[in-house]
Amino acid sequence: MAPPASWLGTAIASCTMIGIAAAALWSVTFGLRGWTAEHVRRLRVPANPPQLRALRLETSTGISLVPWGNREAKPRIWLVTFMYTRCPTFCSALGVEFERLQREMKTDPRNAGIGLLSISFDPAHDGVQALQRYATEHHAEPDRWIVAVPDSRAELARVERQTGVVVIDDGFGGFAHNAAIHVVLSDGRLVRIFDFNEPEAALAWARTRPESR
Amino acid sequence: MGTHTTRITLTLSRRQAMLAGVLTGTVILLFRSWLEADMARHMLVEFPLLLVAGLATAKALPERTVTLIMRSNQLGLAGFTFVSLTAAYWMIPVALDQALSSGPAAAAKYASFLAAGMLLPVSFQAAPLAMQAFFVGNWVWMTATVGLLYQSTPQQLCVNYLIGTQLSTGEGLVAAAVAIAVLWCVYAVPAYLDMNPNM
Repeated sequence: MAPPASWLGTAIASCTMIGIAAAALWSVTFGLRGWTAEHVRRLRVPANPPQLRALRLETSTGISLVPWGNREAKPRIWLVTFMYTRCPTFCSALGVEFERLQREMKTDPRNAGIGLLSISFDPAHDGVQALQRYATEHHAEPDRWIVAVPDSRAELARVERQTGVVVIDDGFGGFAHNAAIHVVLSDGRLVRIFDFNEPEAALAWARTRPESR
Repeated sequence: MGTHTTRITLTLSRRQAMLAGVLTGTVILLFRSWLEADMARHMLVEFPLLLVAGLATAKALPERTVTLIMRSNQLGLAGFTFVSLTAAYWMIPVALDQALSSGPAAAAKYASFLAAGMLLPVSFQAAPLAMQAFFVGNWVWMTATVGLLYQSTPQQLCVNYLIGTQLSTGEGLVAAAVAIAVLWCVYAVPAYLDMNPNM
């Protein structure tokens, strides 16, 4: 004979499901504070800074550079953006913002330990020449602002995964990506993420760190 | 003789159901990256396909397992709760993104929709019209609201999907909500009139 249906069992099953769903929701939204991946990423980073692996870059001046994560890395605090040089929207706006920031930084010796870094995620198009054009266009001075591309696709994929940067095809031969300013210490810790249109806030925050001097 | 025939039909239909479930599952696995490359295909094609795969698999479950499940599914309450939670959770942009970037999240998505599909028919059978109205109505307004939000937000909600596909997903969700509401009414109104012949 079939066992009788039970209200207790139904109640326990329903409550367990609600409990599990609530826990999953709490975790994925970072305590109900963010509903999009980009927002949650910006909340998670300061609370639990991810440790980025050493990244080898090739710069617009043709040299090899490791900005963070190993003994080659000079003590510095980096304001990092991800871009591609053909980009007509966010990245050129970021370029203009960084150009302005570079001018502002020159006026204050407190910024000596802060570096700007634009990393291209389009190695297929952004060789040294393309990077050089971008750097010249935005008057990047190599001792303050480095324009570079990761040494290999594997390194690029890793830094994207570790930072939470997602680059997708925009359907017009370009890319769509989450544009932001990432604050990375030379030990490889990603400590803050600022919106791409608040570079001043990023600079002001970087100045408060002892590494900036 | 009659019993014998019934049993054969049942076995066959079980086998067919299993086959349909496995086939749908295979199709999803084969076309997974294509389905998930577009937000509208992900939410409006892959999610329903997963439900169908679950639905078919449920038909193939042995009677005893179904009885065991139904012991804790009075009036379909637990089943409907599970389906509602699953539908709601995977409409959250950050959850949808996570299903693309993390293996365990993707597995949870497949498993929860398959299970939701398995629970749907038995829960409908067990639920009186009032219970059905509550859960169907709840799903309809939730889905329509999310659909409208996807359309009215100027911001790209998922890092993996462009705003264009977000817009068409929003339109699709509203259409799905309306379609399910109409379909359920078409089924429920005659059923209600059958039960209340005096009306």
